[in-house]
Amino acid sequence: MDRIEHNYELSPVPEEGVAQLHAALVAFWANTDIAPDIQIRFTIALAEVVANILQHAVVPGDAPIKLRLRCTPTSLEARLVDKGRSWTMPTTGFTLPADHAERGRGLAIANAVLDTLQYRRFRDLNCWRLVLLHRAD
Amino acid sequence: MEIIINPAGEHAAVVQLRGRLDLLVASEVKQRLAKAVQEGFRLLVIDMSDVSFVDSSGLGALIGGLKAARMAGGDLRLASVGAQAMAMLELTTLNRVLRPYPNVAEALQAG
Repeated sequence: MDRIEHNYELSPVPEEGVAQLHAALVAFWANTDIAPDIQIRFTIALAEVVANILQHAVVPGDAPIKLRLRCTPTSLEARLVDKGRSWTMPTTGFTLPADHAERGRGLAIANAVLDTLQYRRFRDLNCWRLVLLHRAD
Repeated sequence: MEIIINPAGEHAAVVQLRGRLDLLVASEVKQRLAKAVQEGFRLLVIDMSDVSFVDSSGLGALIGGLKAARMAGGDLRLASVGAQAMAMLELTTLNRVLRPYPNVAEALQAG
């Protein structure tokens, strides 16, 4: 399988952005031969990061969130760029909250699924990079 | 998301969810589950067979429903959980508290 790369824009309006994300993933998976369980894990992680952006970084009226999805013979990668509020990555890492907690699991789930979860602030941009290795070789 | 709640006995109800259980609907789902418990349905069985995707907010809504049911002396159980939702339960280890059952009938009959 050759490298496949597609670019998308997600609305900062949650109802629209979430729908666009899932539509983008359906189209993206249709062009790959990634196993269903790997698709599920990557989708889970990406949806959590996008949800975090929609809930905490951007507001309706902001510029669209830019999403680049890339599939190579060994990895899946997503890059997300938005112009929303900056975010501070916890220095202690991501931990799951207690079982009875109703919030606070999103990025811990993404971090547990992925081989790489990076965030950096570059000028006025939030830049996320998500990588999941899907083949051992 | 479509939320359909049908009584299944004096104190039990089956909650059928259809669509994505995510940040967009989590608050509404939590409220509907709490309302069902207030109405006397202390055993809630969530039929997950038509749930296409669950995110962490959706899990939070189910935890909220579980807490409401437990406070009333009951329980919340999941039935017919698909592969994606099961992956979420396992990743968060919430399958220990949100126990999945093969189908609605077994979830209703479990002790």
